[in-house]
Amino acid sequence: MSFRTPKGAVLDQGISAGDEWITVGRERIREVAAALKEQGFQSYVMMTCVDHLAAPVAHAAAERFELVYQLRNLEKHEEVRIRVFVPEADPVAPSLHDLFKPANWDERETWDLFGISFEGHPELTRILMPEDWVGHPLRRDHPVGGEPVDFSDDHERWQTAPRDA
Amino acid sequence: MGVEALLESLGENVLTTTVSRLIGWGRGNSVWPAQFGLACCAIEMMHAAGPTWDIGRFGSEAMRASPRQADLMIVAGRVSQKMAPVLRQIYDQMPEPKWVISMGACASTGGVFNNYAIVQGVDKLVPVDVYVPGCPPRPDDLVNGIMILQEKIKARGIAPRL
Repeated sequence: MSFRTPKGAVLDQGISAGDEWITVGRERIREVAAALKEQGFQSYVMMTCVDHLAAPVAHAAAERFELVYQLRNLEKHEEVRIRVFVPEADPVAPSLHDLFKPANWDERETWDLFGISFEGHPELTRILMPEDWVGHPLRRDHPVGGEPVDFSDDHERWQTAPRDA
Repeated sequence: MGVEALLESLGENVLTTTVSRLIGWGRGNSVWPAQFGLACCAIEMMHAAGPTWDIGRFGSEAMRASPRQADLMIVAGRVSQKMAPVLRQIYDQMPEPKWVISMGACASTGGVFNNYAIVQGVDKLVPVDVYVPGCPPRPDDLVNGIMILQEKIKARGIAPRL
């Protein structure tokens, strides 16, 4: 690894498609992100979320939701991916908006589409769906929606939630 | 001398018509679109206004940014649930007479996006006069749609829309 992390913070690590990734517990993500930022990983590339409801991932600390952060070191041209698992029963994670300003909108998007709330976020509101939308659309058990299309065979099938199908 | 004899004496310099046809001809030949490019179809709409397919030849030279100065709303692109009230508000701000062209598959029926986020056809929000299918329709398809609308406008004349 080309960077140092606080002792005991990294639960797992590996290389995937040329990118180094580490798994960190959600209680230590702020510490790890701050440490990486001091070491030069000052460019926040993106944060996304994965819902493993349909296909549980093979990992010791696996939960339903997985947050994936990508940080970039612009001087050494290196990127690191940080994976944080968030359980379904308690979908809360710490906010990184004070460390990385772009995290503000990514966290709003994750709240809007997955329902994970971020502690310390100044204004956690919907950003893509209308404000009065009910539900979190990118969760695997949210129906796809739309209209039945005449003369299509399997439209009815994928309109329902995968847990019932 | 009667009126007919007077008109004959003027030769071919007089044209008689009805007020309705005259106004219909005037409205149809100067349809000013309001810019409502939402997605990819907007690129084709821009090309339709460009030099190669030039809708300025048909009277649509002025694409007004303000709906209050426009006759035609070309809905070019997919309408999301969040954009729907905005679209309706822009439509309401246009003064009569006004027309709507639904450009592309997404505006007509929701296109390839049959899901929770996209309104399945802009005719759920506003009354549509001409549907132009395609993904995206070529600029000449849009020009054809505008020409069909022009025929529709001329045929209506001064009759009020009920």
